Amino acid sequence: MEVVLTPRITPAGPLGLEAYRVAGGYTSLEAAFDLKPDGVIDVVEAAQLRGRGGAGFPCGLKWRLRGSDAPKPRYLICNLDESEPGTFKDRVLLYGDPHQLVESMIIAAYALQVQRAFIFVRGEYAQGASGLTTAIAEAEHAGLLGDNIAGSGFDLRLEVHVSAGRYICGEESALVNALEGRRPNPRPRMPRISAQGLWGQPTTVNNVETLVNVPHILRNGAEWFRNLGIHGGTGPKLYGISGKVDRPCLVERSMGSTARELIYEHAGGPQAQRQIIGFMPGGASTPFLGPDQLDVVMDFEAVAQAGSRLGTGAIIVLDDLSCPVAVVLNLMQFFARESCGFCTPCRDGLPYAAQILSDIVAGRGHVGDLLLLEELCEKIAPYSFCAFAPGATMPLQSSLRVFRDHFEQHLAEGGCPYANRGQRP
Amino acid sequence: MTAFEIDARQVPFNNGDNILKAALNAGVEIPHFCYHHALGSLGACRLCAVEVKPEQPEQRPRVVMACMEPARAGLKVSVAAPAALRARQGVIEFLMTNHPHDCPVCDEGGECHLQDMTVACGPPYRRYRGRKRTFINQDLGPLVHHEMNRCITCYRCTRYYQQYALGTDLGAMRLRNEVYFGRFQDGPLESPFAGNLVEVCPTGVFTDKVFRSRFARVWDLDTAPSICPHCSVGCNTLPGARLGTLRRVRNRDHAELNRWFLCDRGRFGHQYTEHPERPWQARVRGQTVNYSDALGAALDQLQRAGAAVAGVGSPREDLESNALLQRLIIRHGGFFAAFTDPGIEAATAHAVRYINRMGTPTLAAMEHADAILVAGELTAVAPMMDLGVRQASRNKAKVGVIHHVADPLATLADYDIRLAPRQTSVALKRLQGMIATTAEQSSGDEHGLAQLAATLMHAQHPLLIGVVETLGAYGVAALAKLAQSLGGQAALAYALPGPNAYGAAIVNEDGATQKVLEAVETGKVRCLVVTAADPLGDTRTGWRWREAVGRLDSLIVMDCVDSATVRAADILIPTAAWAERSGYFINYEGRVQCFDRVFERDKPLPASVAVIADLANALDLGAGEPRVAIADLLPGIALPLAGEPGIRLTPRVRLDVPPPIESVAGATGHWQVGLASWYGDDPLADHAAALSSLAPASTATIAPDTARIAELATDARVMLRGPAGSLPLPLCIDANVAEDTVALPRSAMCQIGVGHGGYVELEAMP
Amino acid sequence: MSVTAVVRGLWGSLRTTLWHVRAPRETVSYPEVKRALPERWRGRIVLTRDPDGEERCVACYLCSAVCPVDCITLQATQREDGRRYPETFRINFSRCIFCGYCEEACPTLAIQLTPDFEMCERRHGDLIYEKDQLLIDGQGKHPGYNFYRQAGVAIPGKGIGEGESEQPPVDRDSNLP
Repeated sequence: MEVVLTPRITPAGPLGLEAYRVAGGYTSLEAAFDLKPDGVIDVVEAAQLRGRGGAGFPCGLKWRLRGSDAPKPRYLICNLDESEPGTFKDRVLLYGDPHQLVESMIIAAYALQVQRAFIFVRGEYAQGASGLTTAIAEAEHAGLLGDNIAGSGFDLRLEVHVSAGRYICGEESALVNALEGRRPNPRPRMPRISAQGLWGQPTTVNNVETLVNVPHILRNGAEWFRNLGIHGGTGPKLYGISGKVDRPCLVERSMGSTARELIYEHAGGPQAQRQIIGFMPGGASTPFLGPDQLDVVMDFEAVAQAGSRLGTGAIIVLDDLSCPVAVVLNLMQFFARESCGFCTPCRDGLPYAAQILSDIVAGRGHVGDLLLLEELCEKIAPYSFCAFAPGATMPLQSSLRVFRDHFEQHLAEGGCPYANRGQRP
Repeated sequence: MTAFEIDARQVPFNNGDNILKAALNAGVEIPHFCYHHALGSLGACRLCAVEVKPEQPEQRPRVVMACMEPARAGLKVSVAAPAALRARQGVIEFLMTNHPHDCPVCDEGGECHLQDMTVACGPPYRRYRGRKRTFINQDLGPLVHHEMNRCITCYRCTRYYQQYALGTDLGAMRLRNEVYFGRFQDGPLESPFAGNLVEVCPTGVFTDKVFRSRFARVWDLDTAPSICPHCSVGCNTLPGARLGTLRRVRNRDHAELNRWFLCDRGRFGHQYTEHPERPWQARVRGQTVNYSDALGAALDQLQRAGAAVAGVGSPREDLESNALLQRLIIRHGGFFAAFTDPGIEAATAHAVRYINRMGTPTLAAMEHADAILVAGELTAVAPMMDLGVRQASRNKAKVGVIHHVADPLATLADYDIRLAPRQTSVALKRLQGMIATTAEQSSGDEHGLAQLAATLMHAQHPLLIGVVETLGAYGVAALAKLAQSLGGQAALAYALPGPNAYGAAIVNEDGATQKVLEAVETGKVRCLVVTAADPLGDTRTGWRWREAVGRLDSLIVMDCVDSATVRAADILIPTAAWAERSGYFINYEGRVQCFDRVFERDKPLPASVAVIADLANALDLGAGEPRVAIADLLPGIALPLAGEPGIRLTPRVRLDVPPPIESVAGATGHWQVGLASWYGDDPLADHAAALSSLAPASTATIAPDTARIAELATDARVMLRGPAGSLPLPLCIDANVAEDTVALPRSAMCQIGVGHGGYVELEAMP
Repeated sequence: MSVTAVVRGLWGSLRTTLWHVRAPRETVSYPEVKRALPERWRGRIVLTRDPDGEERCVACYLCSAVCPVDCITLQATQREDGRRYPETFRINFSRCIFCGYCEEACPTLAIQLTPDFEMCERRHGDLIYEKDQLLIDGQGKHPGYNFYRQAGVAIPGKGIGEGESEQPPVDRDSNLP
């Protein structure tokens, strides 16, 4: 398939402004300015670009719903706070091709008629943020940012903000709080961030992968974009494959590729003499799928129908020599640690579940623990304040279905069967 | 009034209410933690889960948080639905995983919201097998105790402290189940309202450290509705006593005054009732005697003096005592005054007149002002008014403060106007002029007065607040005239100098204080009776009183706290503190409120009104009935009972007497004196051990420019000289002090013999 | 009635009486012989100590609150090191009905009822026991329990986080995991 997002990414480092231009960069600006803001939104909507941050909300629709009459000033934020375990696509885009992101921001800001935009970068990606800052400086110098961009009359100030840390900053409203200098607790769902976001103003938040598709849509058209996808998906998708595979990697494929193709053809399948016992299709907060579901189409609806979520499209593979209970314990400890501490079920319920899992792994599990874990999931997920806790309980809840026999073996053997057999769990 | 349904019960609501607020107002219990009427909804604790019936029959009922769900007509809510019960049980179980096994040693037990909610909603047994997270506690000062293990992370403390009280030194740290609420740096809490953390916290994280030193369980306390005896706001309180000692003071709701909060002076100032130097034993010329002997001696002196008697009441004495003493003395042919400083008397009298004429807002109403001018250091005099101004400023009101020394409200203000004491009235007159002429910004306005004038002019609900003690009569009148020039919507309020200053002003005749003082000085008075006042300790006039009482045959003093006057008494009759008796105070609004007796000591002391009544009855003057005295003073007013909201005296128009010209006779020196006070400063609270340990050091404070011009170094010691003597003090430099001003504490001013706005000589010591 | 029946009847009663001459007695010759009472017999109240020898009572006031006849009075105070204890503890045994509610209510197993009833006095006032008459040196009926090892507060010998169910304290100055 035609690779659009990643061909300029090489081990030699990101392209500077001139080289990026030679490769066709910033040519979409002219197309955008010709279409006018509403036209840009129309094209993006027609392309059926869906958000790549995990929720899958149609990007053009999101932009249109904010309304062209939204009170000024308005803001645009690129969410580059990629902290989901197993997900590394945004890092590759940041470190590999910062100018692509700058170009996307200009077009998106133009479509939304926003004068000030931010790129919120995960703190651990500081080096990438520094490269991005350099790219922005180059663009400003060339008149592609600041006042009267390329003679269009459109002004934009683009800033990089490096996060002070922690996973919850990736949540849209918590991110806005963090930008304001407050503690990054999420805000109530209403009023929406699109109506009252940063400093109480209309704010649009998009994932970086979503945004970098936009210049290509403008350059090549909505239909071209739609046709890049297969099995009903639209556009390209960056899929990461990690875990127990032969060659963990990041590939740009059509949206709608199957998990089997990604795992076997691109990541080399499971390691020698091992069997896949399950996988997470979209990062750590997605439910496990079993080996019988490897043919699932990696698109939003199809994965949801299979009982999981596409999320970020980062596949994590487990094989028969990895203890899934230990994997789930690791995940629960991560989520418990990353809770912002605002609401009780997440703050105190996740460590509770992690503690029981830790007992099970250590051989101190009790007979009623599996029912207790299910009960905890039912008391945590529906009553929490934001979507973090439901995401955190998805691996646990699904593993109690998909890997129940592993759990029961732990209880029966009084410890991890893998450890008992001398295998590394 | 529209209503919705909770478990088949109709609950009325106002537009914009959420389910929880409407329910609590209607007396329906929905378990909750993080919601508080003063702080609003947060949605953090997840305990207020209720089930809402679906709109369409095919939809399923959903569980929502009552505090986040808007109330609307036709809503059907169930608190007792099984899904809601499960949700709440889950929340309590989660909170209990880390809660320490502290109830037996926790002060909160018996009034602990967490205990109540756990019993109401939680599982009866513990099945969590893990270990509890723990925290090291901080020393937050002598007033509030910190025990962080008990925290349930409801965020009430930080929301109250930062968002409501606008404090900055306490907040949330860390994350997840290790969120820590404490000071960012070590040291005592800085806010004058920090004590409210004790009541806002639903568990025992923040507890009353003063109460802890002599602890009793809440179910054993003797309580009665009371009124705070420390300032003119008249907050409603609930003191608690046990076995003959006062243990603590808690807030009591009053919808128009203090509602949910108290200041630290009101909450912790009660310790004066246990001070070792409180007068306990009656004394006659140094000899300890019993009450009837002291009374006999006093009677004897009064009879011998005949008409050469005088009486001094007090703005901190209750209404009946003041009124009865006035009747007694007048009928005996003598002079009576309810103040010790003619300047303060005049200023208070004028303030009361203007309030009567123009009305004054309730404390709750002050929060709706959109532009506020404060003349004076409000935080030190009437802290709860400061809290009201903070709420207005949260509602986007513009605040201007005219002050002469460091002031917490000035730090927050939009217009911070530092002026020497004598410049304040001048500035108020200039503001009035600017408003009258709507003049453009005039030259020479380096203090930003023109902007302030414009803000006040364009405001819908401007509010002017004046501190009577430091404004003086002239300033009080200038502020009132400024309010009048702003037109009908302007509100005026005065922070009067004492819990019953209004009452003292209506008992007092104009010019009485001057008359009494001069009568004592010239020997026209042989016997002086003082109740709850400290004339010898007054700043401006104290030195004159000290000299004058030497000419008396007898000085008869009744008080419940130690003072210079108590120590100089010939006949000392110790009296009951406010919580040991009942009485009436009239607050800054002219609201008569009743405080009830909370407890009786093992060896009870007589109430001052009872002592005066005994004297009056023995002298057979027909003046010994307190009720009659009050009826004469406030004809037609049915006095309120303790626990009632109080009765606002209807405005009565009285003749407007032109303000006296400020007298500067006897004042020499180039340095204007400004009173340096703090929120714990009053004759009673000065003797509260824990609170007074926070008092700032006694220094002479001047501005950096003034120091430079006078060539005074930062760590110098200076000698101050006034009419009564001289006093060495360490020098302190502070940019918040006005130019040409030296800020002095009360005790220093009293020793030197100079009042606020007076003059002293100052020189560096070698 | 026949003579035989009468004689038989008389013999039956006499036999019963003679049997009872040698039958085992329930009556005990107190005070020469004392009945052994079970441990849970509700008699004189004592205040016990914990395994470390410190007094268990933390002056929580639960016993005085639950007492149906209000016979317990105490005043809480604390040592310099923060350990709470009763400054005064008074039980009026002329009011006490030995119901055992105080023992049930006590969360630290401090106050206990012992199988001792030999406490009569000639003067009413002597029936008011102060703390020195109540506090014993032993652990009473419940050895091994030390409340402070379970509680969250710090006392000498058990700092914050050193209790049996506690983790070491959190470092509040860092956001690192």
